[in-house]
Amino acid sequence: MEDGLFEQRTDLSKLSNAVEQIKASLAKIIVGQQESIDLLIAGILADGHILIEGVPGVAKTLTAKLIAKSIDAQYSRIQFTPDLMPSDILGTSVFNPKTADFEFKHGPIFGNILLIDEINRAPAKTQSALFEVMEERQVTIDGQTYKMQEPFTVLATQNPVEHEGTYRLPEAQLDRFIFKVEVKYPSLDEEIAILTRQHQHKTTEQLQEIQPVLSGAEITSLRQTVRELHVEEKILVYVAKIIHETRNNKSLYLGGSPRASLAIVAAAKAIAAIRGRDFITPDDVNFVVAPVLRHRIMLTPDKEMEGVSPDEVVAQVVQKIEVPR
Amino acid sequence: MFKPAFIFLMMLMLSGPVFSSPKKPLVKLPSPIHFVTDSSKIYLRHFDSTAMAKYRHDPAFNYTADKQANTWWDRFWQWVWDVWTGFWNWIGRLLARLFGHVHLGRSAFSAMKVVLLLLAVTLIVFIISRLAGIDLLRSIRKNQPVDQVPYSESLENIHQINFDEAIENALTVKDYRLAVRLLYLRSLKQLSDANLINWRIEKTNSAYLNELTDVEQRRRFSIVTRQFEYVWYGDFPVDGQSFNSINSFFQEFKQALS
Repeated sequence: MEDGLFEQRTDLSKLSNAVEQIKASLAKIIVGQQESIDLLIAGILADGHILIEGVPGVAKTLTAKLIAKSIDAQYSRIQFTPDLMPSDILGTSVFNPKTADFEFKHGPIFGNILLIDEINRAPAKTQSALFEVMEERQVTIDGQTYKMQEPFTVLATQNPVEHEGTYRLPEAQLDRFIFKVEVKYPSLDEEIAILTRQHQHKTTEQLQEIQPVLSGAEITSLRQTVRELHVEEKILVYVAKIIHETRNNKSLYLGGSPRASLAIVAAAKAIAAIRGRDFITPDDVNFVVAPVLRHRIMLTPDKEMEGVSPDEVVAQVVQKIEVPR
Repeated sequence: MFKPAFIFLMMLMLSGPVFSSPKKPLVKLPSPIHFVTDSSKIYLRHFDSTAMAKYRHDPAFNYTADKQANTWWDRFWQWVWDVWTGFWNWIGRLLARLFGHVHLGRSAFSAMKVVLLLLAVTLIVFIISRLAGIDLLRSIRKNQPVDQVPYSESLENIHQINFDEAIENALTVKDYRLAVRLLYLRSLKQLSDANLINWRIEKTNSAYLNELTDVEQRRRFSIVTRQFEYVWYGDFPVDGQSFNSINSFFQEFKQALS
C-alpha cells in the first residue's frame, strides 16, 4: 500500500494490468459506462454469468462483444428468437449412416464466452435448456454428460421486460446470473462524444484494433486468485444480514437466495481485486449488492403498482443493516 | 227465414234487464215460536278411577319439576354461574363507586360480557396451545426476522464510549488490532462532534469520506481509513512498531481536526 506499512499478501499486479488494458481498449469505443464495465469485468473474474439490460441502442451488445473480444477464448453468439429450440442451443444427436450410429453435434453453447443476444425473446422452454449449463457447467443429452471447457461465461443482453415481444425470464434462470447490469442512456456530454467519434469515423477503425488482453487460461488463473482473497467473518455476517433482510422485507414478495449471498461475496472479492486489495470491505459489498439482487428479488404487487424500483428497495434494505466496524 | 227471428229473440233477451222494473223488498212475516222440551234422561258421568290412577302413575304425564339430587357436575356449573353473576355484581359496584350511578343499557352490558368472555376463551386457548407446544403467534411474527444473526458489536452508542480508556486497555493487553479500530472510531466521533459528518451506523467509510468537503481533511481521513481497513477488514498483523506508525497518522488527523 501507499503508506508502506502493509505488504500485499496476494500478487494482484497481473490482474490490475489486465483490467486497466481492457478498460483502456473499451474506452476507445464505448463512451462512459464506467460502472457497467467494472461490473462486467468483475462478473467475469467472479466466474459468473452476466445479464445486460437496457433499452435498444445503448450499446449493450457492442459492450458485450468488446469484452468477449478482449479475451482470447472460443467465442460464440446466439441470437435468441421466439422459435428457437433447446437443441438449437445445446446440440443434437444425428444418425451417421457410415458408422450406423448416432453422433452428437455440439451446439453453439460449447464455447468459452457465449454471447446470447436478446435472451428474453425466447420462451421459457428454450430458457430451460440453459439451467444446467449455467449452474453446473455441463450439458446432459441422451444420458450423456458433456462438461464445458473453462472458462465458461454467458453474457446475455435483453430489452426491458415491458417491451414488445419480450418474456420475463424464469426466476431459476435469473438467479444464475451473478449481475444484472443496467445500461443507462448516456449523459449529454457523452452523447456529444459519441456523435463526434462517429463523425470522425474513429469508432469503426478502433473496433478493428481491439486485441485480446487475456487468454482463457489466464482468466481461469485470475479467477482462482480472486477466489482466495481474504474475507473477514464480520463481512460475511454483514452480507448474511442483508440477504435475511430481503427475505423479511414487507416490500418484497421474493427475497435473495443463498446463491445471492454467495454471489455478493464472490463479486465483492472481484471488485476488491480490481481496486487493488486482497480483502473485501463493506464498500465493496455495497457496490455489488444492487446488481446482484435487482433481478433476483420480486416486489410485492402494491410496490410494483406504486412504481418502486428494485434498486430503491435494495437501498432501503442496506440502510437497515449496521456496517461492521 | 230463421235469421231475423233469431236476431229478434236475442234483442228481446238482452233488453230484458233494461225494461224490467226494480224488485220490491220482500216483507217477512214473523213465524210462530214453538218451544220443544228435552225430556231425555241425564246421566252424570265420572272419570274412570282405574284409568286415572294409571295415568297418575305414568311418568310421561308427570309435569311437576323433578327435584333430583344435584350431581357434582351440576354443583360445579352452579358455582361457575354464581361466580359469573358475582363478578358482574362486583363490576357494577366498582363502576358505581368510581363513577356514581351508571346505567348501562342492556345491549352494552351484553356486549361487554361477550368481549370479556371472548378474551377469557382466547386466554385459555393460548395457554393450552403453549402447554401443547404450539406457537399460535408464529403467523403474526411472520414478517419479523426469524433467525437473529449472532453479532453484538453494535456501535449505535459511539458517543458513550470512553475511547481514551478503551485504547489504553487494548494497548495494555497488546491488542493492537482493537486499538486501531478504537482509534478509527474515535476519529469518526470527532468528525461527528465537529458536524463534519452525519454519524449513522449503516454508512460505509467511503460515505463518510464523501461527506467531507475540505480537501485536506479528506486526504487525512482517507489515510486513516485505509489503515483501519487493512487492519480490521484485511486482518493484517499489527505489532507494537507498526502500531506506533499507524497511531502517528491518527494523531496527525486528530491534531488537524482540533
